[in-house]
Amino acid sequence: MIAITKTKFLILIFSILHTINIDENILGSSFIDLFQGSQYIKLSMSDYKEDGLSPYDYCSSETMIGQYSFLDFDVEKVAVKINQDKQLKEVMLKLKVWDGQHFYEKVTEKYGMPDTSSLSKYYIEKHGFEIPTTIKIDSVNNYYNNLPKPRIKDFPEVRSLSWYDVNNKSGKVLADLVIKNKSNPSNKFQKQEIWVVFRRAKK
Amino acid sequence: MCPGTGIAAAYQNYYFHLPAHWNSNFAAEKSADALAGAFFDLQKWFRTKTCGHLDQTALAFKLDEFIKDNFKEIGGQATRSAPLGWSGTVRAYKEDWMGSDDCYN
Repeated sequence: MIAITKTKFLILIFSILHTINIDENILGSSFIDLFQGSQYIKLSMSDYKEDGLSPYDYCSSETMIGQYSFLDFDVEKVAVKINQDKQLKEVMLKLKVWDGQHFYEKVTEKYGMPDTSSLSKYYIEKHGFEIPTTIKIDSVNNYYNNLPKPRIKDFPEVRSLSWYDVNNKSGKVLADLVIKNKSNPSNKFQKQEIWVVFRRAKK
Repeated sequence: MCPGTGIAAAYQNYYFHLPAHWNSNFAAEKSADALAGAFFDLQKWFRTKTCGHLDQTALAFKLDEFIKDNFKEIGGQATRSAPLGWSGTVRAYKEDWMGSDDCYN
């Protein structure tokens, strides 16, 4: 009995030690460092699925769930794009959370308020506005100026939020961060799927 | 914080040329990603401008540059004029407002 308990304890410690917290610094490491000999999948056109991963070159396998985290939130899948110099060009972390506001509070604690946002139909209509495609081109400026700017509590309801040049210390790879809400914001009874994307900033 | 520039992009036609061996679903998703990249670049560029002031001509010019760059990156090409011999119908770009950009429609 004691032996079994010790074994479980050791397994628990082992899994904690092997959780890799991913942030913008990942862009400075290599594909090999990221996957560390673990299983990964090379994505190709012949394996096409409607999961939005086609633009990526590689993704993690199902067996890697629990191996990565972002701000202590478990990551379900990691997908990467590689550039011509074999560097990580983009790293996408797919995660699911129950409390989107809590997630964005932690994000803004680390990165501050986003530089820009893309609003959603849900958010725009909730605030009594029509969606942009119905606005006449002459009225766009006025429409734009009156749109409400989302606050942290609204972040789970917009399409995406962007932070630019988040890693501007010398010696680091300059990165942009985009966080995309992939779930329908009107459905409050399911986990929200969120994609956290670190992109190598263009010069 | 600026609410974004997607609402301000000028309306103009683009023709996307993609490798012939790509199947249609794969090509559509790669195109959607390239377009999303172009809008991202436009938004980042726009951030350096005075928020709240929209210059449609400048936006259209920069969007053109970013669309062409992003399609080149995926091994394709974006042009403002139709390829020689092309006889299809130009369709409106639609965004899936509940989620990701969508080039299927």
